[in-house]
Amino acid sequence: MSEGPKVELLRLLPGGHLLLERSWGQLAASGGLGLLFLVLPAFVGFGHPLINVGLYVAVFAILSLGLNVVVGWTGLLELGYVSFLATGAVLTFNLLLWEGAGGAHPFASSSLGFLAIILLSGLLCAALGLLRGIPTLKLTGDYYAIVTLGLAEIVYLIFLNSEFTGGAFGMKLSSDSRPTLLGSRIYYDSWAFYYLVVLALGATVVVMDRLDRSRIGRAWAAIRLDEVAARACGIDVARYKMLAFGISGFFGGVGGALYAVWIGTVAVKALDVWQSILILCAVVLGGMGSLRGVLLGSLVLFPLRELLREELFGVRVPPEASNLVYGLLLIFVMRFRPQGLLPRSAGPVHPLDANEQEAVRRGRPRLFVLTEPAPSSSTETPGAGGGPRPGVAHSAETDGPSPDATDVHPGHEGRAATGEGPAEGTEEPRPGIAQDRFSPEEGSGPSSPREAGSAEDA
Amino acid sequence: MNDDLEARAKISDRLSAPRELRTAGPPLLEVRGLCRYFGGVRAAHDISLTVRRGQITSLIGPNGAGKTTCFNAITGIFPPTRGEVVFHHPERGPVPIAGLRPDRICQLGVARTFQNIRLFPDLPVVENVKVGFHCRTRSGLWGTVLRLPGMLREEAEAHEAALRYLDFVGLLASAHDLATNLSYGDQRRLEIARALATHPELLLLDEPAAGMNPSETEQLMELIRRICDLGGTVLLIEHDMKLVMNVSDRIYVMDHGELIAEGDPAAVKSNPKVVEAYLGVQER
Amino acid sequence: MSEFFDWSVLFNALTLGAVYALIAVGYTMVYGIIQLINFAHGEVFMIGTFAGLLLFAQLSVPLSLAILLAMLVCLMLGVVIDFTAYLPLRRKHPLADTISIAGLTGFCGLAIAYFLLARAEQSQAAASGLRIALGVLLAAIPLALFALAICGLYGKLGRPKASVTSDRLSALITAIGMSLSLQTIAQLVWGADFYVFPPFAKESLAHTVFESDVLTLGSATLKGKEFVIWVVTAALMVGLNGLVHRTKIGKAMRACAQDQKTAALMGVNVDYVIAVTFMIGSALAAIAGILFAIKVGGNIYFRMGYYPGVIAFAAAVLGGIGSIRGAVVGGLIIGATQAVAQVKWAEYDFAFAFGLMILVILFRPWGIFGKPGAARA
Repeated sequence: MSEGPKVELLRLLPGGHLLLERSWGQLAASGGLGLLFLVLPAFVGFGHPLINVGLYVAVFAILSLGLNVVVGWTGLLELGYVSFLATGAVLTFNLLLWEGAGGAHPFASSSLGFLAIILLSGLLCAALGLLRGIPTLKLTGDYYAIVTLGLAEIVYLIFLNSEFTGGAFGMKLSSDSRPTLLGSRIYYDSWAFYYLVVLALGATVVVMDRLDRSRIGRAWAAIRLDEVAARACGIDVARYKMLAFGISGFFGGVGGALYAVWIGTVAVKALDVWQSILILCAVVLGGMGSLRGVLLGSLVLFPLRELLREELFGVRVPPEASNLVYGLLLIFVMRFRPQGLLPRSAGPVHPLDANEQEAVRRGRPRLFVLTEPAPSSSTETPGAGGGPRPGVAHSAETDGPSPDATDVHPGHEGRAATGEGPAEGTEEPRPGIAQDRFSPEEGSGPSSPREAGSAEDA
Repeated sequence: MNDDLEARAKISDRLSAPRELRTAGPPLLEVRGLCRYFGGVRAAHDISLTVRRGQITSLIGPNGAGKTTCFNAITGIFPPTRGEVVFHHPERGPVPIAGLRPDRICQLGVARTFQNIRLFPDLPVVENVKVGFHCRTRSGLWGTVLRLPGMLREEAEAHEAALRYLDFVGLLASAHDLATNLSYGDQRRLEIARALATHPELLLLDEPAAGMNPSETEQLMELIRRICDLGGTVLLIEHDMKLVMNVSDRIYVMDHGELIAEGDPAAVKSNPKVVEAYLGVQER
Repeated sequence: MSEFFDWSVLFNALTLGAVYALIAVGYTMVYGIIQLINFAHGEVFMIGTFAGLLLFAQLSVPLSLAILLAMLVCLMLGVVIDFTAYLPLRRKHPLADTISIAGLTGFCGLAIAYFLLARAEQSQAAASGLRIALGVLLAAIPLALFALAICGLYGKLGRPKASVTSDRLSALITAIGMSLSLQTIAQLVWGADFYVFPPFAKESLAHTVFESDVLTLGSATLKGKEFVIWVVTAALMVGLNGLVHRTKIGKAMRACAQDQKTAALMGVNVDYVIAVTFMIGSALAAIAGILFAIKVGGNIYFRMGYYPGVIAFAAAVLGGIGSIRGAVVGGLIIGATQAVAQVKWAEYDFAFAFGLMILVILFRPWGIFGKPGAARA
């Protein structure tokens, strides 16, 4: 009943029913966070240090969310995520600095060019993620972590010693090679870039949320929790791991492109493996696998780094101290709260809502029909009565009492159910194919104890 | 206490009563000359068995006889060293499944449970069942990201269907609990629900009654019977001879990695080799 | 071929290999028993080097004594790392947990204070007194933790956690956190500068031992310091092998590596064995660090432990994790790879070592001396 006003409110929105799965707290938090990002510039103006911190947080939140796909959902400890960030940034710089025929920067001179760069960067990193996935597919645990670390180090060393990255000195965007968005050159202080980043973060959150609550998210969870059982449930583990690598890489590339434009100067030297650890730290602090947790982690951790650069209460804390905070955080969180500050919610706590009970009772026709019944088998089946025989044990026997967890007399109950055991069962009409099982006509008689029980519960 | 005694009494009642066996359908799974060696250890050697549609077939034997090894080889957890496994798919006819990946075998319609329960402990009960629907649903990346109507419908259906499966095994009330919080017997039943959700033609149950008390075993027996009555086919590994004799239509007995007997319950019960395997030889 | 082969390459390979082997032993023994990549091991290597440097260069302690003291420091550090970071993940003991975490936090706070003081008022005498006091405190906390760990708390630390294996991700993340923390503390205390190991006085014994030419083959000269590294490593490995295979504690270690629970049931104090493992590995890392610093002559800074650490882990994997023999052979192979790569692609030498590590993990994760079934992770 307490849900009433929310339900009414949300039904008015297109797609609002999707929001019904959230609690008020979740809605308020996400709305507040979104609003904070949107109206922040109104108070301080673009180019303010606070906006800069906001951009930093947003870009790294995208990266953290990307990393979370592999670390939090698929359960593989990825230590080389910085490679995607570096690759995206380097690609972006190269495309922006690329001079066309007339000395112009083709990618830098139009909005479309910049958006294309972001997409290209994402796709390149997704491809690299897939490529890297081929050898690492079979690895788990420590070995996956150390191999990704090693690959990231190799990429780092190559970048550090290559021309196209500017080597140890890095690359700088000159004013005429800065990207154009909506007609003006953008940099960290322009409104267009700010809203582009906020939009990108919003889109990332939405995509991640949808993945989380989907068949794909479930498959990842299954792989994380028990790979053998996941295989036995028909999940193509390789395929879904690859999907995770690709998606994770994509967001790493997008983050890298945005990072490049935000920072304006990329020194590959700054993008070493410890940067991966920093992103990992945000994921771990918030809660591996929990979207809101990862967002919270980013929101807490990344400003901290900026904060520690400033003078606090007259004391100049060394910037190195931030690394100490990250190191200790990793230890503390793992010790005292391994699930993170805001762990993934385990879903509704109430036993079963009325809708669900209704759905079970109503037994709507289902569409999961797999196999046509084997024609030969029906004739041999006693009592099949010519009705097609399901090849499958199609569940949900609503017309017979079923052993219930709440049942106090299992023996008794069992006896009753045995009424339709092998011998007597022959008289009963055999269930047809699955659809019939759940058609309303076959739906339960209200007299069955199970039904009476549910009615009372409701 | 009382319930337990009552249940025990019922089991013995039923054991003494003559039981009519289910009629055998056409073969659903044929295993021919299956071998699985670990180094020099012959965990399973030259196993041939046939599971017929509509029946409950049991594979029994003392500890370490190689029963679970057979299951693992059939379901692709590891490939058999030698031998053929043919699954008669209703549409595609006989399919050799030896050496296929476990997920492919599951998609063809062979589902299993595990001796040491392997649920997804941190997922709610209903989500566990929904994982089982994975190979029977289609929605992919784009459907998920764009929330296409087909995907939404599929999700809603999967949810309802999962609830119905839970109802079937009697776990509806705890649909939203975490799987890890269920009792032992409930976890076993949840594993069966998850396996059923993959829509198997053939359900392989690996010691489903291990660690259960008599009344739970009784419930399980009913569940297995109902699965079969609804048209399922079951291959069962079990230690509990009473349970096996009570539900099976055909029994294969293994010892030291080899088949030593097969036949209907009555025949197996009186087979001297079986008695010897279980009780040891009294002479000598 | 001749482009890559030179006697100096061989000397370099053996020297690098010996250093890696010394570090790898620490990884392989710890991993063999608790299946944890002790990421902080590279930092132990770094701190051992710094300790030796300070003792030798600033306090003018004789080199041999400096090495011994540095070993002692690292030995304690290893135990403290296990006690504060890893032990609480294996076992629950509220008091010990609180003490260790308070010690760790206090230590980090002191490190920051030390840094601030060093930056702020370098000239004032009072400040320098305070600095020394802080420095003493900095040393006192780990000492106290070490004493606490050894004096009875090990082995009486409450119930083991239910699932040790499922916590391996947590343990690895903790190890990374420990590594980052130690690195940063070193950075706070010693700054981001590169330190140089001072040259030995001309007439000293050390100078004659380390700087003399032992052997000249072609254009390559084998320096005394390289030879010392080989000899010391060989001697230590023989000794360690004896320890593991001939002594009671060695037997306990091997038992714990096989099955901790059963070992505990047979009366082995598993936590004590783990502590000893950390001690041995850390002490060897200290020797490796100082010998390496003497050989290279410089490059001592807060992040010096990272690359050798990861490479040494690669060596441990290559040889077969858990095997001391394997650590030596793996170290030599990785050292050779790197030495050969240095001839032509000096800037990529670590990339080759990493590449070899990846290939090994992908194709032979059980290593040279391991058995396929025993491959972990």
